[in-house]
Amino acid sequence: MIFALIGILIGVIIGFFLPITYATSYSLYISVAILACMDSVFGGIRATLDDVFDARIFISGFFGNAILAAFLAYIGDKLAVPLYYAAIFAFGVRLFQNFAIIRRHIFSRD
Amino acid sequence: MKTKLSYKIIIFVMAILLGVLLSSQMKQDLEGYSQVSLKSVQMVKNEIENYKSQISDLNKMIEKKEEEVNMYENTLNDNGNISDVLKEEIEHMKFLAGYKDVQGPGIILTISDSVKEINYGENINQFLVHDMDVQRLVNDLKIAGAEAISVSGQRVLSSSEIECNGPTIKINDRTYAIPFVIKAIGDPKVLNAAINAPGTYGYQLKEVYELELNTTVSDFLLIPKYKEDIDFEFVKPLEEGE
Repeated sequence: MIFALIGILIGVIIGFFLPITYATSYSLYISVAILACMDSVFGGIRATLDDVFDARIFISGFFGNAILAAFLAYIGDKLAVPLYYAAIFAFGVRLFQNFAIIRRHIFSRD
Repeated sequence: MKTKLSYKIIIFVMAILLGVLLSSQMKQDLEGYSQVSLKSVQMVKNEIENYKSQISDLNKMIEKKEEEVNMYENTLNDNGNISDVLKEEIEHMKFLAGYKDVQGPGIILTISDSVKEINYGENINQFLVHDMDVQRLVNDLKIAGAEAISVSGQRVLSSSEIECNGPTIKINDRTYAIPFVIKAIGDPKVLNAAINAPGTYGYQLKEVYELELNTTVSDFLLIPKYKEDIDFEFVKPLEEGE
């Protein structure tokens, strides 16, 4: 739990100093991908707390979800239908569910 | 905590990746970025087309003006008198503005009050020529492409009023009584149709209100120039570049 937060913090700091830039038109895809990654990290924390963590599933989920979400956003852009809502909705719901389970784990341990 | 260290490390690494993504996204200047719909794309396209056609029109105008400048320069080089060219231009401007007598083919309209006897209960106003009637006839002639119009000898310009003045009508500040003679230069067939074709206002005046409306097609018409001075009190030309 804490190590994940520390990791995000370190990542943010690294990101600010790394000279990564991309065209503004890609920011939609990146933001959807970020949501997918967030979902995966929360899912991973939950899985470690549940003792069902599987490294393969976690890593494939991390990248697979991000790529699928960006792909959905891309297809939606081509079809002029905001398909990335689907990704936002699915990952958003899962994010809150995972967070709820993590909370229950933390408080039941005390 | 029974979780293995390796799991923690994996999540830690992924969290770092997530952080990098987050900050790189935050670094982007996202102000002014919004979803663009097909409709707005189309609208912008249309706007661009509009501007393009405006630009080409302006370019044509520039070409025309350059030609004019060339003409002036040529006359100067040929030891010609520039004032002759300018005089010619002034005459042309006067012609365009309606300050020249003009001639050409067209139609003559005479319109006066109905001569029929009024029955009991009928309104006399229906059988008189009103300023509105003249106005609508003039407008119909304009729609039919009349290039010069006069009403009772007064040239009709953009500033010419057709004002109700009791039994008479005021045009260019002069009062005229029936019969009103409207002359119009243009395509005689089209002008005639604009007045006499069934469904037109002229046809209605003739058939329904039984006004005395006669049209004569003529190959040679004279329409006098506008005789007043135009004095603008409020209108000022827009300075270029403002």
